[in-house]
Amino acid sequence: MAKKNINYYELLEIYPAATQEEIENAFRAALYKYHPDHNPDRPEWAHEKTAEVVEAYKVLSDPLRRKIYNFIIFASLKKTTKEYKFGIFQFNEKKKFEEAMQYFKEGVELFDQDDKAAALLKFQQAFGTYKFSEAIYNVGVIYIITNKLNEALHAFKEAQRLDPENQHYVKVLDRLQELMREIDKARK
Amino acid sequence: MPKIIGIDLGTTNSCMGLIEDGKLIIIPNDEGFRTTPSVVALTKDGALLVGNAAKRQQIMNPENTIFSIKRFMGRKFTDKVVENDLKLMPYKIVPAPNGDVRVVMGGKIYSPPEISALILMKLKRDAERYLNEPVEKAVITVPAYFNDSQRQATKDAGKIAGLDVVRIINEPTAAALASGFDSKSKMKIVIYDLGGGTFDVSILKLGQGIFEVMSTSGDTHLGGDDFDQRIIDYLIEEFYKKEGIDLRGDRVALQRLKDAAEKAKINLSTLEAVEITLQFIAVTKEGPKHLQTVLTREKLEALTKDLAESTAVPCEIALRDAGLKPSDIDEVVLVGGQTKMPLVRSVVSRIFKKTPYEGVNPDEAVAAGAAHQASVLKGDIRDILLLDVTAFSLGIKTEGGVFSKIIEKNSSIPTRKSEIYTTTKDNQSFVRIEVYQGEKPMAADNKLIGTFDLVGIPPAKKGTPKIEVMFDIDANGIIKVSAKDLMTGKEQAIQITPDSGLSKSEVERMAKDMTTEFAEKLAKGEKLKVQQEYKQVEQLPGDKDAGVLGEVKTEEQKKKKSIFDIFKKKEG
Repeated sequence: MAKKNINYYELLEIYPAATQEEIENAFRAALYKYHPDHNPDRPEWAHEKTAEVVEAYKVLSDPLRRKIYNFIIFASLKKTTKEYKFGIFQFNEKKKFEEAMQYFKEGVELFDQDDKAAALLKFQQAFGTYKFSEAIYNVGVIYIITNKLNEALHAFKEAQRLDPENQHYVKVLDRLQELMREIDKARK
Repeated sequence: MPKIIGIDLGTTNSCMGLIEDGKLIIIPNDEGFRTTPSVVALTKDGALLVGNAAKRQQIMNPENTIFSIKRFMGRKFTDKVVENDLKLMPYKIVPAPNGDVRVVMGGKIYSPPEISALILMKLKRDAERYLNEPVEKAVITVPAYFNDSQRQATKDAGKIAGLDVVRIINEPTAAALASGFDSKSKMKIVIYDLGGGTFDVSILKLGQGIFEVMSTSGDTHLGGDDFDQRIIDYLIEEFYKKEGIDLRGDRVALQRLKDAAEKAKINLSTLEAVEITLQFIAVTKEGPKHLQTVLTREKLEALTKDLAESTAVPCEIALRDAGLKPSDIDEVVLVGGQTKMPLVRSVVSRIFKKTPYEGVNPDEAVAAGAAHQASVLKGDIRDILLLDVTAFSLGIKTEGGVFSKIIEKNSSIPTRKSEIYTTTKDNQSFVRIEVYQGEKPMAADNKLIGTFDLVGIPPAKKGTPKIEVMFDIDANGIIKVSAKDLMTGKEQAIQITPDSGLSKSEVERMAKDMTTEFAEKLAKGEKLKVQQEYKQVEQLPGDKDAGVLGEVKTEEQKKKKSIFDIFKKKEG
């Protein structure tokens, strides 16, 4: 999972909106720069950097993992907005960046106050086409991985409410509810 | 700048390469051959022979001639595969105190890395003579399917031989480097490497100068040796049916059979049938018995069909792991002597639905690739880069003996993963971590790499210490475990108990022995060999002692004289 203090986009020197091809090119360029074969004088450093680059590529080149990663860094942004300068919000124009940052911060506040619809609006403003239902769904996936099923259930319900047309959300929700019933039965 | 040579340390044959001024040279051995048999022998009078000289006397001295040592590198005596080999090898195999395999040569016990070191030392010497300068650094290849213990053993062999092993690379990956495909163009290739003792299959993605391995699979105990064994078993069976004599107990007969089987197999790659004749293979009261039979290609294929077919499973696994279909593959490259067999070629064509690529020398490609990598490490080649993967998942034993994966197989290397550990009892001062490699759900079914004890943890309530343990796999595919106490930020002490392998002091002692005792024996062997060759070439008139040869006439002889003089000087 995501490592502390490393922003994969920054590491690969790409914009968050990079295409798959851009990610691949950036990965190869970073390998040339950091790989131990090209840095015989500092093998430890090269090993560490290359391991990071490899991990970054693994996450960003997989669409699902990239979405989850994106959400993790969006969510963790609230805590670190002060130190956080560029990275995920690296827009071409600085003014737009400030603007997006403001929308995002407001969105996080609303999300925490449980005003999901208002939060969605803010996030949409921040990210343009970013789909909040997807983000919520991804959070649900993370909760499942970390075995917090109640939280996951909440997230999936939210995702389904925001995007009722998505059959996948319906299916996932059904499966999770079934799983939780089984666990309950086993406990009794 | 000192040269770095590339070495393919093979099960049956080894080969050396070097890139000089952008050109590949396959370094011949002192007899002028481009490959050297991976055979070591101790003669009755204490001379050590390596390579062709050792192979030549194998039939006469089977108990003290060690071959296929690679099969035992980093292995336990109790390994199932070793158990099976015990019956087949004419030399003695015994367990070491830590359970590793040891072999007996001339009444003395040797570790597999020591035997490999003797081969490496011979290669090093030959390279030095050929290049006329000292060689201290090398890139050595190993099967992609070698685990951590086997890689460590190979590295140890290098150290014992006085070589700085700057990198260990995987054989199929090396072959890809040497395949001559333009790494700038995007393509996906399969390397199918069936050597003397191991089978590897790797799928690579090429592009922008990077050779990126997508997946790898294989079998470390499947190779040409097994094909030979099928022929041997068949010959023994036939002979038993005809003469009622079981040749299995006769080490000399077994060695002759092995020799004949290998030759027949090689010839059957081009011929439809060969005659096998072994005179005086057994002696009975009625007199000597000869083995005489005809082996057809058809029969050979029937005997070995399942072996060739069994390579399909790793190929399918590699395809699945890479998320590819056979139609996604642009080229299939064959490497290793056993791929010259038509049956193997047809199996490959069927698996990948493609005719294999013809442009690679299956005997030399791996050494050539190692030479390329050496050149990259030296800084001479800057426009290619290898990104390999680990063939096994790495994990630890957790509650109930369950294997918990930390690094998944086919992860690109170098890689690092970290986990945070804590104590489960108050004032607990150490935490034990058992590290395994493999894919089975229970830890015990996988290969134990070592036990790592986090020691000297300051007294605290249970659950409060936070120790970050880093699991690293470096570009050699070798595992390193380190730890940090997150509360103090200090490096956490670790006591490492590897499950197998040689200790640092053992390696050092062996390296020392190598320069003293073995060097002497080896020199004796070389002298013996040179003497034999002198006798073979020409006995100069009036001079019976090869050591005090007078004038030499031909260039060839001059060379031999000078080699001989080197040893005279060293001894004196």
